[in-house]
Amino acid sequence: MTLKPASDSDGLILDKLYVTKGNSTLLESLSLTIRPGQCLAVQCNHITGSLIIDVLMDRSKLSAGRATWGGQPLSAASATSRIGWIRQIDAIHERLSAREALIFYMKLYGSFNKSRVDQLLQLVGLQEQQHTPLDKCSVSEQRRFHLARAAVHRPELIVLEDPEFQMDLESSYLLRQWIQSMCGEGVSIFMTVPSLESALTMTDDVIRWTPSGFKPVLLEEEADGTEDQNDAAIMEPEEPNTVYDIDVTAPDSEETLYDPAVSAAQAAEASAARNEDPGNADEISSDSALEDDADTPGQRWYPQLSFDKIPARVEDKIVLIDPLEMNFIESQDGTSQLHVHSGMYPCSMTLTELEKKLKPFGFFRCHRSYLVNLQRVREVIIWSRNSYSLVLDDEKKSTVPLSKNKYEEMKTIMGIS
Amino acid sequence: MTLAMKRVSAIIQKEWKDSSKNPVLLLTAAIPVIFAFLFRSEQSVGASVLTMPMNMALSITGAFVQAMMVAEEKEKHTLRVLMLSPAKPIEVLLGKSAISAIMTVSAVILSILIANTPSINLVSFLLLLIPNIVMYLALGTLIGLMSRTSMETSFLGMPLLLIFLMGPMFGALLNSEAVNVAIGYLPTEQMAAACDILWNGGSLTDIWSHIGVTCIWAVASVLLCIIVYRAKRYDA
Repeated sequence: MTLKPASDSDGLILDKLYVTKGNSTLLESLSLTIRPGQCLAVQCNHITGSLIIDVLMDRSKLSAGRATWGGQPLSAASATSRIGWIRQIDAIHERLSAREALIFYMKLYGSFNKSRVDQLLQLVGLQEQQHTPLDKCSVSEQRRFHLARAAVHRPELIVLEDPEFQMDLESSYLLRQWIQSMCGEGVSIFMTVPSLESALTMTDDVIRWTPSGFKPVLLEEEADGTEDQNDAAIMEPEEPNTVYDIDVTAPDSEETLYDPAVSAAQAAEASAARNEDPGNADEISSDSALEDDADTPGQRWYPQLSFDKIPARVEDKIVLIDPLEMNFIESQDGTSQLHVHSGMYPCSMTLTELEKKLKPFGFFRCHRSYLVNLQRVREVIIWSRNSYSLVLDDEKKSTVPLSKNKYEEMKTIMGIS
Repeated sequence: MTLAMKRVSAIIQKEWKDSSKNPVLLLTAAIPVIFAFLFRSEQSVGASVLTMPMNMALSITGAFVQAMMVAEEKEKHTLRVLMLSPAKPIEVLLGKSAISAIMTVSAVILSILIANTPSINLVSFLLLLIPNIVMYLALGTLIGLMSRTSMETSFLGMPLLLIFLMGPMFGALLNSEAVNVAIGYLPTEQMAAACDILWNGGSLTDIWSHIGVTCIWAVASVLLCIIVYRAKRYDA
């Protein structure tokens, strides 16, 4: 049955999964491999995500390709005790408490271990509610219970559908802790995530669904990547910890810390300092709310500033976008996507070129695939010591991932100690 | 095999904790005991003080509690999560049957105590009770499998309850020979007749025919239950 060498059959292997229904292709050629201890996210819409998991559970039929775990299909009887599943909506035994239910599931797998129960309850932050019936727990707590439930039997693989679904901020934070500690136990995690931003803050291995099929998210500048790790090693462990404390004990203090007025002023200062252009700083604070048209070259002090507009292509037209109009720029499959108030425009410049051009405007390279307008940053969320998100103040409250070494850099720019 | 036993015992423990917190289930299980108290006040009737509450204990506690438990797991979709573990649907059903059996037996014991039963032949009583419990649990599982929600179990189970419990009362009104004969073969009537014999000091040999008829009922309902289980997959 296995044509591949034995070493290849370790871990989860999806080989060109293909699902068609009637004339329409529902799932197109998804191939991936997950090693033990690796966490991989597939970013796709909810329907595709649940289809992938249905296929893995053998609830939907594959048209072509195959999915194996250690050389066997995932639905094989011998695999049930080695895999944990979490669907987007999983039922709970409402009258049982989290603790009772965990013990029950453990006994079903024949692996009862009291310390494991305590450890898992603590990991998902349900220790205080461990004796509350599950239907009295909040939806987030129920979702967190499932995180613990899927891990009771020390599975080798956890399949997770839409992990952040119905999770509040604290739960999302605990989720990331859970992912890290599971990976630390050598568990492979496969998840489907609807939002690219949250996928990137949860793991480095992300596969995106695009109209042209599934593509791994290529983090730009691989050299930069190795540098990241070096930096991480040098980075003092103390600092993120203290910040994390602030985050947990007083979440409000963070909002005041990143008050838009303050951050705008700081960003303006920073950009003005680098640009040596006093007018620019004024413009940032005054023009940010204005329309593109109002920003005529006549008002500018230096005529060459008219080159600062970023060309973007919309069908067969080229639109020039004012830097201050942009919330953030995302790199997808080699093209840069400019996120502005009204939508998203592709731009042919690379993120590095854009970074160079936009730095004077208070843009900051917060992630290998993201360039963010610092004035738009409303909140910084610290998920764990090495995963952060920026929440912007646009209407969608977009979130942008922030890499750990960039976090240090951003703190210096913003003057946060 | 030992693993399967462990799983069943885990399910029994879970059902025990679960049902002890389920007021509807507890109330349903307690109805026969309440009735046993009500019937006791009419002193004159003899064995019917025992048989009526006992038939209720078997049909309401046995069948309905089982049906509610089976249907609830399906209604709340908790079975789907259970099916992702090594547990098998048949093990889940076995675990639930064990809890219903325990509840039924305790309801029967309570009715016996409440009815001030004179000392009866215990062996023959047990031989009578066991096929009855099997039959009612099978019927309860059947109702549970056929209904989609636990509410629906009362709808589907009501005809059974009416025929089994009320049949003997209203059958006499019809004045039809065929109906009377048919009612005589109902498990509740068999139970009542056998209890009457035992109450009056009868022995095992006197109730063989009643035990036989009940056993046929039990086998028939178990077979029917298996057929329905195959047709309507519990875990679907």
